[in-house]
Amino acid sequence: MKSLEIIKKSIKEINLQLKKKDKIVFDNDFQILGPKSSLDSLIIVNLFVAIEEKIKSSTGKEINLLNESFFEKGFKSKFTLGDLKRDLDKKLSKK
Amino acid sequence: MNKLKKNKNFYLLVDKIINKSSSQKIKILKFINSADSIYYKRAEAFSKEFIRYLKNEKINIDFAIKAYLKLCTDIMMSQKYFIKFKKYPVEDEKKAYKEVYDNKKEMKSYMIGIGMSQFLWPTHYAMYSFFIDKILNKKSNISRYLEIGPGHGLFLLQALRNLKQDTKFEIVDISKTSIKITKSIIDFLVKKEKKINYTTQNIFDFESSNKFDFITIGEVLEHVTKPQEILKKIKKLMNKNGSVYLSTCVDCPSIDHVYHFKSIGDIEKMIKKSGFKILDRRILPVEDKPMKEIIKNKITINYCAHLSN
Repeated sequence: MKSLEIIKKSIKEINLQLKKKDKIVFDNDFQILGPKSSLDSLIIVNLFVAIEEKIKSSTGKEINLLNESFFEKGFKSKFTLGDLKRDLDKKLSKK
Repeated sequence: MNKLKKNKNFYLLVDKIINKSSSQKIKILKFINSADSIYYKRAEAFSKEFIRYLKNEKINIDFAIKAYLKLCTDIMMSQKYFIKFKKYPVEDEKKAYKEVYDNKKEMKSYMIGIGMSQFLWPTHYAMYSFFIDKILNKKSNISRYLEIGPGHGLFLLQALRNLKQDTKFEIVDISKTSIKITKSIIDFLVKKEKKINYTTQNIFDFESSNKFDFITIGEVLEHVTKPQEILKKIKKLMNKNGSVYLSTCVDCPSIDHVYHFKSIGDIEKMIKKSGFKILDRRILPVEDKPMKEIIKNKITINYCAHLSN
């Protein structure tokens, strides 16, 4: 499964828990963290866990997208779905 | 924002946090924008004293902001572990003791972060308010006060300020570092002479010839492997007409939580089994969602109660 597909599937899953106004929009510029983000931290954690688990079940690879440095990076600047896709591609190509 | 700006010390702290974290900005502003005037009065009073305390201890405000954000990150990382493995990241209280309570640097940061959360997280503030109400209601009947695990000292501070001048205070904590932090806060902020005795000891080994009229045990049960034993011990230490303020939580992974309460029923069953009556309580989910969803998605629920014999 390609990274884009994994992200899309995970978002679909997480959106089921969210109210209409809070749903994650599948768009490169959608801010996961940043001044325009409307996601609370628990949703962010759920999204990343969903992606990590899908990667594991489809490729057998264990990746860690969400670590302490992610929050530090996010605290200072924005982090979009586009950034997430780039991070994921980078991690998958390394293994 | 206008109400916030009128409270300059509180504004200083909040402004620094929300400029560093977008997710905190959403949560904090949502909460404080709907808060009442008592909240702002308390938050400003806390911030003023907190900033003075930091200055006295030569701790930079930015260190405190970092400590608060580190606490948020630690909780998120614990939450990730909890979602993935359906259990808390730490299951052994000795490990928590070594890595947190006995670690000076970690404990200092943790206490500062938790202290700030008391005014930044709606559930933590609700528990703090609940405690103040109970102390004020019972103040004329309290001559002996015991607090177990006082941590940042904010609850103890309220007890010291609101109870009778001749009340005797007994403070017990297993961590030397924690007692040191509590004592430094109290010594700095309480100018009137009070009868306070600090003991670094496991509560199971603590003995007292006199019983207590009020016992505070906030956020302790989830830190030990056998919480029921602590409740039984408290029962023995409490006066016949005494009462207890207790707080804990359900589905609340953290770097030092070892006992996993899976429901409010779990907690209350344990309380009743230990021989207490629940006089009053607050059930406080950390997300603004229907309870059915909170339970299904294992979202943290804070809990506090006022107990009697």
